[in-house]
Amino acid sequence: MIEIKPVLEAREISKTYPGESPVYALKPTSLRFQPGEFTAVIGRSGSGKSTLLRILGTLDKSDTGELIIEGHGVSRLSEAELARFRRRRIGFVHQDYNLFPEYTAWENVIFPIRLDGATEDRAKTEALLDRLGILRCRDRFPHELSGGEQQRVSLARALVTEPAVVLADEPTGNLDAENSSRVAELLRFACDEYRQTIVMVTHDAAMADYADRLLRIRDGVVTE
Amino acid sequence: MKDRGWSLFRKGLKRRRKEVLRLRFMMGFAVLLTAFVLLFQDNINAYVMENNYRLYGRWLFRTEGGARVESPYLDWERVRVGGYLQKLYDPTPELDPGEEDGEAEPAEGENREPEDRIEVPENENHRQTSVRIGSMGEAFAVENKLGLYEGRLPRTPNEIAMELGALQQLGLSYELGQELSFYLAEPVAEPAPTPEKSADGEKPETILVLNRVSFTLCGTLERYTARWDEGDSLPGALITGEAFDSLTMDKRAFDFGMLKPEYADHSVWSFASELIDAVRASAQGAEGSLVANEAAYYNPFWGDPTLYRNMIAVLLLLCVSLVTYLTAAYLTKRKRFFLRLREIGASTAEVWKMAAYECALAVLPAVFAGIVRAYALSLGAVFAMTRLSGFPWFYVFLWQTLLRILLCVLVTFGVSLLAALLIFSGRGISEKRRGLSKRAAAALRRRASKQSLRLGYRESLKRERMRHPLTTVLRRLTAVLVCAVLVYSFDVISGAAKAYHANLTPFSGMRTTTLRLRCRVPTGAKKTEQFDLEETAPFLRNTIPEAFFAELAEKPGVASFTRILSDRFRAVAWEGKEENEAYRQYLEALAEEKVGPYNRENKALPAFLDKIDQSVFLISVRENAEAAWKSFGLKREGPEYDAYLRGEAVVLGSTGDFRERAGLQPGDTLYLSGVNGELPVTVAALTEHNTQGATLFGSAAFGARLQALDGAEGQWNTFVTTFDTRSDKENTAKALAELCTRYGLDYMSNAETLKDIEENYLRVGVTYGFFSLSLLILFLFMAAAVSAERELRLRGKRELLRKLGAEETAFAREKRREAVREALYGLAALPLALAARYWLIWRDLGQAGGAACYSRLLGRNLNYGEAFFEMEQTDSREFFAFINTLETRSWLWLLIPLILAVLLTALAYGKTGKGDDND
Repeated sequence: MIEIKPVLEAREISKTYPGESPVYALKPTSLRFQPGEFTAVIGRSGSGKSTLLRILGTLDKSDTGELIIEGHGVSRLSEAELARFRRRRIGFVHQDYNLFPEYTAWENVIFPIRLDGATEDRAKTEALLDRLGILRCRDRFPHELSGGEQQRVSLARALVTEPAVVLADEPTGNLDAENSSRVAELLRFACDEYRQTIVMVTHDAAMADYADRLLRIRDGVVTE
Repeated sequence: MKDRGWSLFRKGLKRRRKEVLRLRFMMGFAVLLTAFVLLFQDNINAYVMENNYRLYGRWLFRTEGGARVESPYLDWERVRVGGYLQKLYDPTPELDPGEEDGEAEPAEGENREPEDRIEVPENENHRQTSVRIGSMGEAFAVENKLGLYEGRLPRTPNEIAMELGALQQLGLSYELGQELSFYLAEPVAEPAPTPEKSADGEKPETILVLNRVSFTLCGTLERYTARWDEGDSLPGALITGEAFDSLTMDKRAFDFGMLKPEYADHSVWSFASELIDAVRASAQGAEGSLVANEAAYYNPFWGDPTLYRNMIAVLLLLCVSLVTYLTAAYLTKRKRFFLRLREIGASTAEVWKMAAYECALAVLPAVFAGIVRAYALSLGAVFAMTRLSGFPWFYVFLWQTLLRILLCVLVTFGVSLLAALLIFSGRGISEKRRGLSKRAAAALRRRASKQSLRLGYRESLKRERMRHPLTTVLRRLTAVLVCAVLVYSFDVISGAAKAYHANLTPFSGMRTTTLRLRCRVPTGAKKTEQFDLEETAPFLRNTIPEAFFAELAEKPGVASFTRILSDRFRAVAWEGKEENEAYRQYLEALAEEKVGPYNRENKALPAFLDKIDQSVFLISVRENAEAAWKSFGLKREGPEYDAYLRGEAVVLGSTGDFRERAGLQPGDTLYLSGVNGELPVTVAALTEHNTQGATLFGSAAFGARLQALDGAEGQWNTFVTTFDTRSDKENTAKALAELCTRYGLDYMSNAETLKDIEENYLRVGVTYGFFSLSLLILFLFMAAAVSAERELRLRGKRELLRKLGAEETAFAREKRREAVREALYGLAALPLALAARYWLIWRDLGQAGGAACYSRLLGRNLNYGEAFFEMEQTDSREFFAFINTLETRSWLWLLIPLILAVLLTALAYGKTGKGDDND
């Protein structure tokens, strides 16, 4: 039997926020995410979902354990290497879309490519936008877009570099049901079409139905 | 009364004590600095103006002969002036016109009845004073602060008020109510020469008819005629208009233009040129009699009121900017809190109200505390200033200024709060999220159309600036303005330093020397009336005794002194002197001017030529001849130098014009005439020297030969001393004056002028230095506040960029780069400051007081006529101003404060704020 190497592996990662009464945001946890796997993380507010996502996204360092992405131990990477790695191999989608208001939709999408000093493949990017249904809004600024459109632009930005992992933090939190299901479908599509690993934090049970795997998190403890 | 959650706000403020204290500190400091500078400067300004009025009067222009020009800014008053007070009979009896010496004391108990009308020769040395009699309106006298020592101004025709100095000049003891009696001359026509007197060419004698007049002394005045511009032509003795009309004497009238009270803040020089032109055009000959009283509005601290107002405006602008930024930064920090208020159901208006309330609670105590502290500090600063400058203590409680500051700060706070709230609402406090403006969107779209842009933090910052172009432009303009003021202030301070080191007087720009004491000839050397020349000879016979120098060396405060042998009007001849055409033309021109046609029929000509020939050579022998030789830029070697040291050669100093006329060259021999014959000396070298005629510079050996020629003894008759910079110059000057008096030496002291120069340097340094420092601190505060506010605003963007893979180091690098870029905009201040400098020079040159400006720039003493001549020599006033604006050394100096300001600004902008977020 051939063992498929996980794209993302967390070994005994944990996070504590110090203070008079320390907060154990994430208790020691080990997780493996396979390529093309769509994982939903469900938990109440303050349960440690976002902390987990930030650690998986290399934005925060875990207090213990190690994070391995595509076979690379993240803790051994320098800040610059980590940034480069994040730029190329991880995509983020946010609840608040987090688009740059001073950039057009097109520029927001190609931002990570240009940030890397590369030039975008125009046809490929247009195809992506077309697939996400936002090609016609490419020259609009974010404030000229609807919430659903903004979120799709955000999703396009996360997918444009063809990252190994896409981390989505409640991507449908600000959307209506129609737009929510459309975004979820698109994530599912990315997962199936491009074999991308999707980790989506949500507290919407309906959204979790799109996932292959469901993780529950409660008081910093992750269970399957 | 409903609480509406206000108590929660207060509680919240207490819990965010650290943040609120920081805001209060910054706001309080900004208000303190601004209010202090305003209070202090207004106080000094008020004091200086009051002092100016008291000393120099309120009038601005004076014309003679009815050349009064209507101006919307001026009120005109007429002052009428009559003849000199000629003599005083009562109680001194030495009025006999036949008496030769008017200085003789009256015989004890002698009391002759004075005559009502007498005749005396004009040339007789009678007891004429320089005090004129005249009449002026009481309102004019009061407005121009003609200070009364005692009594009052005349109200009835038999009353008179006189300057105390005039009474002392007349040798009177006086008391109010005393009857004073003196003579006034009737107007005289130029008499036709009588045949017996005109034969020898001498001027015929004029007989003066003197009429006796009597008045009762009703008041004594301070001596304003000595202080006012050309005040010696004004009345030192005042009578009523009625009495003045009844007197028979030469009469003149002067018109004084005074700024109307409603234009008290108006720039005097803005209409001066037009007025001067109008006066010149209005009456023939009025040009020469126009006097501009620069002193009335002269502010030694700021130059003129316009500059002062502009500086204050810059300060207020900066304060407004700072208050706005602080308020905006504070509200930005509280953004999420107010957003939550919206979420729990508060309307936009309620949120605004709450935000305003919270800001007011946080800020207003600091504002009031700042004003109170500023008031106390200004009291202290004025006290220190008075002690340093030797002023009497004063403090003008300026309610208006205080209220103006309070009002200004409150309005600023209100407006900035509103502005900040509007900005704030755009960032998400209200439901309606404000998008990009059309203009910003168009600009950004244009930017987006550019291919292959490297997108990243730098580009994001650039687009951030494009999104808020007005804020960006205002921020940069403020930087330019502040740096321009800094550079200009430094320019003024360095100018004052230059003037201080060159001993240029602050007001006239004239150069004065170090304290100079000179032995004068105590002889009966009679003033020759025709040519105003002194007879030659006895200068060298009267030298300063060695004992004097021994005592001088012991005086504390005297750093060093140089002894000089100074001679005047030595007759000098040289080969071909009479044949020299240019020289002859020069003499002819002089003769034409003084005694009429240059021909044999003019009997006065030979005597004149004899005297004028002698007058053209001055002689100066320096104790340290080697240093003098070096100061002419000559090499201390060669036969000329040896001859100079031996006293056989001299350096001829003169203007180029004179050398051309005289035809003198190095190697020529001069023959100096003296009591015992002639002394030949060789011209060793020529040097440029701004003097009438020429000056011969020689060594001590030359001085000894010259004295031997005259049979004189002793060695030095003049000396120049320098003071120890740490000493009390005033007391040193007094001690030296006392020493000179004891040795019977006449002396001329520049101590007071030097003191003025020193004080001016101090004032300018303190005023501009403190002002620019305050401005810089405020600006740096603002830069730090801007930086902190941007830091907060960009935090979300940075986090997003981090997620997208931007490097942390890139943020720091970009922050530094942006700080440097923003700071570098300050460099644009240099051309701005130079333009301001150019404009001020150009303006000063065109004013009535342009002579001072020319003198200052050229480092030479120029009166108005000479300045006018200089101006004509230059291509244009614009060109002259341009050249002087770009003086190289000043340029380099100006870069120092500018670079310092740019560096500090970069540091302030580059400061990474902690960006407290309470949520």
